Amino acid sequence: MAAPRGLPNRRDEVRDRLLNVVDELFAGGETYSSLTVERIMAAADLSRATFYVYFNGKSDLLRNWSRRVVEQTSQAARWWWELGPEATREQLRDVLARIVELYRPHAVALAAVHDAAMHDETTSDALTAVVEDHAASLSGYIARGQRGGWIARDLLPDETAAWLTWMGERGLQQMAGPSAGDADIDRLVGSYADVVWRTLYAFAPVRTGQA
Amino acid sequence: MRRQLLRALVHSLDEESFTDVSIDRLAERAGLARSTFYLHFSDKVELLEALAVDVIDEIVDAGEYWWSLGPGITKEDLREGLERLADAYRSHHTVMTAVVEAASYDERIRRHFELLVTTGSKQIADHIRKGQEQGFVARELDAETTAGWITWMSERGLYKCVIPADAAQTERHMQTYTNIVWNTLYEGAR
Repeated sequence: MAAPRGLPNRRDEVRDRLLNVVDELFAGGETYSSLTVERIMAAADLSRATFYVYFNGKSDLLRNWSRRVVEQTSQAARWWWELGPEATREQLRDVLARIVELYRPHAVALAAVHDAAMHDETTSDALTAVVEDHAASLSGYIARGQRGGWIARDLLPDETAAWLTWMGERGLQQMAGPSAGDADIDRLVGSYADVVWRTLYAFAPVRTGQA
Repeated sequence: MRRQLLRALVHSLDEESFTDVSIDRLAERAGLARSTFYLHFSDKVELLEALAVDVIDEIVDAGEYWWSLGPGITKEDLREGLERLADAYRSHHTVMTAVVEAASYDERIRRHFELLVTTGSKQIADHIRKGQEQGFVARELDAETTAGWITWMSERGLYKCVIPADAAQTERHMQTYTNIVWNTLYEGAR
């Protein structure tokens, strides 16, 4: 059944609109420190007072914004979880390319929020939680692949997932920023795929014939 | 007196974050007057900078063992190399945490941090190229970008996984770090 129309929907709409405005302002060259509640509300064409109906302050808004971006990106990982025993390096590369494409437009702003997170524990915890969620999914996937013999069996699922997830998060943030052109991104995705492919799949029992 | 102030900062970072460090307490800890602090450093960031230069050199030096491994490399050699890197990082982790934190808002510290990352990345890229020529590193890898991924993985992995870990967890993380680097670069290359 559809949710009843009225305030709850409007609330979500306004929240979304504010988060979208943050996207636009960052894309327009706004920096973390130049971004103020006034600017956000002016760009959204809403009164300053309205802001506090939805968020406690700037860092609360940005926390929600970055969580949304990272969530959207890691949801794209569902294509990854579909890769099984027949997976090829090219398929893995395509999946990682799609994840990078979703992440790329937000790289600058995410780096800024990450910087802020260095001295704001709540933001830091929120980002860590999203990364840990993704790592948990990856760990489950690794364990499944190990049972099926298509992921290398000597890997520790939880720890391998943690290292690969932090590599993805930090590596994209630092290397896939605005100064990276399409050709750079192509190389970057290629070696991202190489690291993941060779770590998880290339030496799995089904591929080395030691099943 | 510079030395006393540097030592005072190291001790302070064991107890509080860099943001919370105050020059008054630093001077007090070093047994100096506040005005003496300013004879040596213009602010606490400059003091951190002086500390960071040595720490970063030490971490880069610790990486040397791994980067200079050659054709006979074994997984145990790699583990030893990564342990040295982790040890150097661990013994200065409070300073490195302060560096990462201050790099987010201070241009001078950011440059030092970037130097550490670019130096590490360049050394790994050279190691990959040499290994490809000599046949002990997988030939299909793009040296520069693969080195970039491994560098950032090392930076985050040491910071987020190894530093907070107890002994048993550390063993699991170091084993994992070794496996990922081993499979990525060397496995099946010989």
